[in-house]
Amino acid sequence: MRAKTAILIVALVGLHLTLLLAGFVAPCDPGAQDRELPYAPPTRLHFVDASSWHLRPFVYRWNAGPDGYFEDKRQSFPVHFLTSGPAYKLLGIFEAKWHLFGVDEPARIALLGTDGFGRDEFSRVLSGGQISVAEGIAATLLALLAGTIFGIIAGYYGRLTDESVMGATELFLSLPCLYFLLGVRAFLPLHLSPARTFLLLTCVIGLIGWARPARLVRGIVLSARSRNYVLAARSFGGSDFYLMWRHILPEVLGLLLTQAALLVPRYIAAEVTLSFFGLGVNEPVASWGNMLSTLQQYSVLVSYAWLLAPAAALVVTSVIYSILADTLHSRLEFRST
Amino acid sequence: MNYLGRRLIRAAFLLVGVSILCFLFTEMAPGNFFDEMRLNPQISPETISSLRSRYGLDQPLVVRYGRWLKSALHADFGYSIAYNAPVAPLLWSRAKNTLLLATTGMLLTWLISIPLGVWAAARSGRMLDKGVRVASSLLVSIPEVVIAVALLAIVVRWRVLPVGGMTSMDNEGLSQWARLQEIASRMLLPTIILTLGESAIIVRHLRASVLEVLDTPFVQAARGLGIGRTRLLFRHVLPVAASPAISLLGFSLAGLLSGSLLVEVICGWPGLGPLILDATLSRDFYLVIGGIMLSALFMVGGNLVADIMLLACDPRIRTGALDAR
Amino acid sequence: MAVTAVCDVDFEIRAGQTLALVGASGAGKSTVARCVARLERPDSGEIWLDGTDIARLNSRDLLPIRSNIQMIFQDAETSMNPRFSAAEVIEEPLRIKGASRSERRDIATAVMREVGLPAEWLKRPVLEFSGGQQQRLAIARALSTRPKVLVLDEALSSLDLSTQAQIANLLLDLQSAHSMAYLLISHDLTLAARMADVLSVMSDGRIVEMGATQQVIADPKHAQTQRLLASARAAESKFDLTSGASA
Repeated sequence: MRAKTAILIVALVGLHLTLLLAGFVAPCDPGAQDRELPYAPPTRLHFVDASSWHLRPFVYRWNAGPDGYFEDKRQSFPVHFLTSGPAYKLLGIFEAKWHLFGVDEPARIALLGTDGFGRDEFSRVLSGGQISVAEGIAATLLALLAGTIFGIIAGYYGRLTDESVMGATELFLSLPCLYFLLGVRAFLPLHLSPARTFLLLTCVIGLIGWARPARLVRGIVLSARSRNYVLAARSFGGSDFYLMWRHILPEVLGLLLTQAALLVPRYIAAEVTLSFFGLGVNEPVASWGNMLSTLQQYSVLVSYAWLLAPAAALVVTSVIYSILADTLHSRLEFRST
Repeated sequence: MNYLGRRLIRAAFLLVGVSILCFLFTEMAPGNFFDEMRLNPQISPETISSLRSRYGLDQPLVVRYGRWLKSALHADFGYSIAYNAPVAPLLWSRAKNTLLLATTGMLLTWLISIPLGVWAAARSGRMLDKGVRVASSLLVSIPEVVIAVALLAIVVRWRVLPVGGMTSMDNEGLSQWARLQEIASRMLLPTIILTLGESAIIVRHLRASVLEVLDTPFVQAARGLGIGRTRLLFRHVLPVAASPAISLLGFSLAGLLSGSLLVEVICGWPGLGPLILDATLSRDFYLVIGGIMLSALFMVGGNLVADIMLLACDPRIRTGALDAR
Repeated sequence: MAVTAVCDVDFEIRAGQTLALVGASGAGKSTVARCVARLERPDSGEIWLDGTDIARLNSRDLLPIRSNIQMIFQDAETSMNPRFSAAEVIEEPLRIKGASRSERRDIATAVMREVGLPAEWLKRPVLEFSGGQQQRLAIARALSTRPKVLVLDEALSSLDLSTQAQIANLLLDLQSAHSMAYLLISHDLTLAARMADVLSVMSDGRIVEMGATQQVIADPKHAQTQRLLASARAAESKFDLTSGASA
């Protein structure tokens, strides 16, 4: 296995694992507000103090002053690893209190600063990432499922079925993406419970995106259907379903993987855009999109650069998936000749 | 002519299909547009009753759709509650700005992408090519939202350009030239954002296309005849490589239109984007549908133009040689 | 515009017997083969197998009959899914019929041996087999359901001469072991002569001459038969003259 692939896999697994265990990795409760610490810059980690050099990093408290925040050097708070902290639900099921790192009260460790309500940006980026990435993956699964089903049906049964399905794909592909997304979202209830919103976004984004996968799948099915081994299997009495399942679907899987790698970042970006405009996941649940929407005020945008963290996280995620898509594409391309 | 005629009819069908889809989706909305209208104090009862009869607001879906379609054919796209005015003029005044932005973006994109794509392919494997590939791959992976917000942050922070609106507040007293300059300076940021995103895509495709053509026998033959490098690239290779790239034009325009919504809202450019977004947030039924239809029209139109250009460039389509599937 | 591919074709094959259909390309031989194997439905006529007319049965009624007629294709490689292993290829007809895993494995092992391939190779992917071995796999697959009729549609045409001879011998051995009836389609008269009991010549969708192989060869009555014989003899003598090496 080459170095590049190894790095890619580590990055992918690392990204998703971190997001999955967001509650553990984050030191604070993403929803915990601290009205005394709005827009605080990232907490600085120190290794050297007046007396000596320490292996374990430590932090100072931010104090609000006339010219902004300054570090209160009177007391240092060491950073503890694998410490207990605010309760959270691991994987949404298990109650847990262990965190990767943290500091004792009353200090706060905000690696990426705080937002307007004093909430820890780092913790919010992680939990927001859970929502945004999960949304992208869910919508991708839906789009690919719908696209595969219709693509197989169109390619396999041909003629009239094929014509109608292809007509429908052309229709959906002519839709101006974002406009339509906005429009559809507009006419559905704007304020729903977070779970419902999640489901809604998934359905809307996924169901608009079925068209391109359907076309690609149909192409593969068309060429696979006339292969001799499919004919042979039919001569043994194979039913349509058997032929599709055993012979045609495996051809399609390679394509589906590449498509998944392409679509996930796009759909994450779609969710981020929708939430950015206030049409997606709403406060108080964090998502990268609604975190970025506070930046629509120029004063905030200009003064507090650390609030761009969700954008950076989104870029990292997109780049990783993009490299994955390229790798899959070149790997699988050579196989299918 | 036959081909073109068929495409036109197809386009018309597509637009009708889009409108039907829109209406179907809006059926899912809880609450009633008509009731909301009646409850709005700003709209007079006379207006309401005339609208009711014209658009059949309290009638079932099919009737409403039928009336809307009929009006649409007369360029009447309904009435907006939020603005208390007919939709069509509202749309058009904003659409002009969007078109301005999108076409400028498109021109700039192709102006940059063609030379870059061709040179990168010509010097394949060397520094320029590598740089172009990395930059375009990076730009393609970064979502438009991020590019827009990041560039906005830079521009606003260091006050490089004016942002927001199309003109400044003291617009009236300025000369024609100064006014144009103002518009141009405010258009710069959104255009750059659009161009960055779009050129990344086009450069990649163009480069791949040119590489393919460089490998063909006819280019080898031309080289053998001693035709100079630049002339070879631009007079011989490009026209052939352009063919698949032209079909990109349609998608390009589509991408620009979708992208412009985002960019306009973020940069405050008064185009269709902010209008539709506000309409969405206030659930202004007919305005939203009008906006979607207009952008669909642009998209379908753009694809049609691309098809025409393709037809002009690639003789194989005319003879139907490519139609065998 | 519909073209009549085949017309007035009438023949009979007994168990343990081989009937060869020969003729030039486009004579309609493959169409007959596909109809007999029920890959296509004849527009009119009857196909009797064991007292049942299978010509116009629908797919459901045809299902139990399918195991009795199997087809071997010309290109073995494309007739097998390249992602499959030898075992999966052979077991496919059984799997479709719903046989249990152990049954399938037993039968697969048995037929592998019958076609002369080692049973350990069952696990190997299909692409690792050579052309001749792949054809043996195809035969093994056909044998797995113990068919009564085997349709060989140019099954030996893509093989080199020595492999052809081997496979031909294998087929003949299997025929006597299992009393199968063979319908051999070929454009190669020499091969047909070697394997067939009855020789049938087709031209333009019709059978123009049919009879016991030796008789037809000794005394060809139709012009087409004579032509085929002449070119076969010419090819043979060319080969002999250059004593085994290609011209």
